[in-house]
Amino acid sequence: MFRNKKEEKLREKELFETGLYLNEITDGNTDRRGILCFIRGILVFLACYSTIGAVVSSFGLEFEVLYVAAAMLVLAMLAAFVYYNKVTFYLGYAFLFFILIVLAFAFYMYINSGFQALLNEMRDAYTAFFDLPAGRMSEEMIPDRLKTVSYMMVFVAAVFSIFFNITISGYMDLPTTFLVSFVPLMIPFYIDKIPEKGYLVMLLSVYISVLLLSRSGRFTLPYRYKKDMPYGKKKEKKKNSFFYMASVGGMLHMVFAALILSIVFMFVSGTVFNDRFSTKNVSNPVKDLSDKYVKMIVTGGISSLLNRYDARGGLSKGKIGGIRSVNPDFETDLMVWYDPADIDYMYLAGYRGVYYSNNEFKSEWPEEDIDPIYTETFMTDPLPPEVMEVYKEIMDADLVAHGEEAENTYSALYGNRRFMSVRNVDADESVIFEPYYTTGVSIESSGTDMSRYTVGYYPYDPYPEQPDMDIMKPYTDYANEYYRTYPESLTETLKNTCENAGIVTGGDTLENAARLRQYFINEFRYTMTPGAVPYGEDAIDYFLTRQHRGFCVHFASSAALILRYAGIPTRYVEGYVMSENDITKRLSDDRVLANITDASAHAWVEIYITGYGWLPYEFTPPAEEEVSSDVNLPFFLNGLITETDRNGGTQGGTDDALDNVGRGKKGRTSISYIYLPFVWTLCFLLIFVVLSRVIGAAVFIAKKLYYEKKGDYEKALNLQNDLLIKTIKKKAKIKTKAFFIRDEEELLSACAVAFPDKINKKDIRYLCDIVYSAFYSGEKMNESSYVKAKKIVGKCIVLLLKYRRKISTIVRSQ
Amino acid sequence: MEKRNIPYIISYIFELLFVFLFALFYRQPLFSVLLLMFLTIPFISLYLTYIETKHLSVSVECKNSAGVMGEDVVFLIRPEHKGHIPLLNCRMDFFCDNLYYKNEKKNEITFPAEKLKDREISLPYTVSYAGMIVFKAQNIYIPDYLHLFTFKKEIDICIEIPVLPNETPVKKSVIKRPEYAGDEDEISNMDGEKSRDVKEIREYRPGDKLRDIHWKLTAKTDEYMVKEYESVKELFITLLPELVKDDLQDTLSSFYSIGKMLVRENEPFYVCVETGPGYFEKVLVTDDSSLMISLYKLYEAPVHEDGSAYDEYAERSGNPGAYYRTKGKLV
Repeated sequence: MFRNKKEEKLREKELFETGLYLNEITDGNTDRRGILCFIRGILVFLACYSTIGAVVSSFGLEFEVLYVAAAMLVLAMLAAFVYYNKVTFYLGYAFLFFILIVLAFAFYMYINSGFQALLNEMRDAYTAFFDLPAGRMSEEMIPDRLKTVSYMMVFVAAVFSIFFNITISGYMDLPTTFLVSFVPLMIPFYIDKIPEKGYLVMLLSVYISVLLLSRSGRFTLPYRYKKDMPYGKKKEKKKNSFFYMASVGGMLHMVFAALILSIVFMFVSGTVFNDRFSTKNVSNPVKDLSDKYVKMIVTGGISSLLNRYDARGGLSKGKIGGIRSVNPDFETDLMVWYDPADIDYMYLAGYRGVYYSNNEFKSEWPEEDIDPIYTETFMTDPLPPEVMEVYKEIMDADLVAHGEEAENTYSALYGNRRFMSVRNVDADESVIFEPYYTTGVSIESSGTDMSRYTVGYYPYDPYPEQPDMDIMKPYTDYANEYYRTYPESLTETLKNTCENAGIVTGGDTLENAARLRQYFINEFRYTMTPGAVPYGEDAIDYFLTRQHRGFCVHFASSAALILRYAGIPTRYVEGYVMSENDITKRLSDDRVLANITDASAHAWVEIYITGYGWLPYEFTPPAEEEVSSDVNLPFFLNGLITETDRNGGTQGGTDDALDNVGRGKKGRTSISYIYLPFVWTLCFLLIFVVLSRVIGAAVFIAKKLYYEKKGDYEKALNLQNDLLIKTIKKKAKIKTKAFFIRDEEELLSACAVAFPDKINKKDIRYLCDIVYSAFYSGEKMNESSYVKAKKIVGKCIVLLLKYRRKISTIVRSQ
Repeated sequence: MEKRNIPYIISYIFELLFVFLFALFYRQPLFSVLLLMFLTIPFISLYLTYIETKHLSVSVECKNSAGVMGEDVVFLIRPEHKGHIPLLNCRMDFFCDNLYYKNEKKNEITFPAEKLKDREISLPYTVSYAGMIVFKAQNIYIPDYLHLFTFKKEIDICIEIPVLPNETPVKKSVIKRPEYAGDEDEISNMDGEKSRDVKEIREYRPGDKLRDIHWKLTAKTDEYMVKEYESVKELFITLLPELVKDDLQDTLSSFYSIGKMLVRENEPFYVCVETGPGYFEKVLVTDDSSLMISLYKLYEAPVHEDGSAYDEYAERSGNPGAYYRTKGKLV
């Protein structure tokens, strides 16, 4: 009889202490857990069908509506009936997963093709919306989209029915239900693809149902209680609570009411689904940030969110094609102590790319390309220490002979040698980051630990006087031989770019470089999210011919090859750019401490100038306003109240959508947008009140006419008299339920005294008599009496409404 | 509004805020509609609940006229809703106690009220002790569909159901009717337990006893009027149950068993019930219904830690000889 010993003990205790024990409560209703599961199944079906259908239909894909709906209904029911009892609960989900696996294996080709079809449509729509370069289309192995999309929908429904079943049948929880449907729904909504309203009505009705059911009643899962146990109990110290588990009628009512409400909502607010509310024109920090990530996903797939710029040392080590986007973590990579003097910024070179092949600027030449002439002198690694010392200086543009002489010359030209101490915190430990014009590196720790070192250097001068140096001759030959090579496959592209940029082969080196830089500024756009390079494409070719956007790596690598084509020896360099902004502390000895984060990681080009050496040159155009990734509360709130007007237009005529985040959008304060739902709400409430009044009046008139036609004058008069009493009660603010005819007579007589010309006491008496007789005598009322009484009622109501103030005082005084 | 509405309000505000922020940042039509929904539904919910509450009434009755120990006393709650929209979370707070063992613990039951369904919620209470079971419910609380506000409706229900003690076999010899002591003069020695009904009131005749003069009438008529009695020769048994906490159920059982036995024997008797500290009421029992009445009165009598009612009464009455004290299983 009892569930367990605990309950039995409790019963005994209560019977002993109080002499009373409340057994299981019943309410005469038979167990209808089947219907309860069925209603849940309907909700799960509506949620699944509306979510998946909305996504698919908004991208213009067609499917077998009937079959898909039927399959989804079956899946939803299977899921909902998992909660029928304990056995189904423990086995049901395993069964559903089994179905899922069977579906996946049996219709793999169809499902996969359906997915690809949807993905292709989505990619098309997104690239069109954001004006992104068209990506590759996924291959659909089965071209019959009607079939493949339908199979795919059923498969997705199998997955979603499990999720929705947990959120709806299991917990009846709105936020989680909303979140499950939110992600897929956002795919079309994000780019103003509005699904058919039928789906939205279904979805809204699910939301409202879940909201109402979860809050307004108790809808405990059937499996959690025994059969024939409609009430649960909760015993606390101060009170015992008993509550009903579920109500079939209540659930049905709520679902029905939710459906009606959602239709009304869609009807009232249907106008929001038009171009006026296009999200294309929305710009605020949050939207811009999410736009950025969405574009990233569209161009590079979801993996692009993970495949970020490797923050280790800020180096990609010459890899150009594999990076879709960079997202600095703003963590310190290097701590640098140095004497800033009058230097605005300083390059710290870490990696030099010399040979370009397969989307990569490699740091070494391929063995087969090495000319034996240079092998001993420039390329053998490791070189003998003394040779290394010499050429290192040369390669770093030290024009002067090494050693003491060089120092003296430099001191004469630029002042005293300075020292920079570097501590590698989170950069690539295999790399030494050095400024230009170094005179030697002293590594503090021994062996392979290169985390702390000191570098001597001279202040940077971009283009000093050119001393005549014969020592550079062999190196110049070497540079001309090797640092002007480029892949033959890029010849056409490089040629066209040189022409477009106005670069003259054999012309002045720095003039050509300046033209190229200007060309980049005019025609290209800096972005940290350029997107992926299509498979099989050359990164530089894609960048120069189609992409026209990129970050420093793209600009530097391309510039290096373009200049090589123009006959200028170049090297591709990666490292850091230090600026005054990085200085975090000023020390007592005029030195400063700079914390260099990976946001300062950079790539640039070294141009070889005969008689001078390697000159670092900047080809990356200045970055325009980027959406900050530093998300914080003010950042979010900023979007609510500030107007984000970025109508700056696109620079240089390029139309780079990925960088148009927020640009070109109509500036409108977000807060100004929100008043519309408030206005609608008020309108809705107003309509609701007016409609309820109108419907009430219509029902009243209809009833009256019906009774009159039927000759049931007693009922017709009672109906009108009720209205009169209601009016009197309202005026007199009478709250008591009992209101007798004598009260009515008394109050109306008082009115008759106040307005003798409008109504007389006799009429009131007549009315009350006839009403009394209609109530109690059981005699049939004739038409003439009814008409007379009706007139009196009408007169009274008009009087009460017309002279409301005066009458309310009279009535109240009574 | 009740305290229990607050978590619902807070969670609703959070949900609203979530949608509000999304609507602000993304300005998507879906969020606008959701925002509209979140803003309007509370008003609709409150309005409809307010209207529907007017159509709700709740009645409670007990299936049994009296309870029997060890068996169930079933209270039936009948929500009657004439409105069109069901009220899904009607809550009724009620107390159900045996007056002898009050624990004042509140009970609350939540039930739906629907127009289409005549619901009859039965609360089956197993009773283990005799006594008066009182079911009290004052209000019914109806939260709106979102639980943001709770409407209150007065119902004021109070039902008293007596639970009869167990009847145990009693030997007739245990109770003996007090014998009539002798002539009329000796009646006065007994504590009024000779039944003396007034036969007629007549004028004073010499020899009449002074105590038989009807003083009130004499005052009115200015003539001495005398009550003439018709002597009844039986004297009644009086039972005086001692309601002591430890032996309460046994006392009741003994009293009830003796009472039943006397009724079966057509032996009228008095039950002396303490109505308050030092106040006693005598109830004449002649049949089952008057036995019930005496029992009801007993159920409302105070329970003592020790048995002193009999002594107190005996001291006042002077001669306790005709009384039977029931205390525990003892008579």
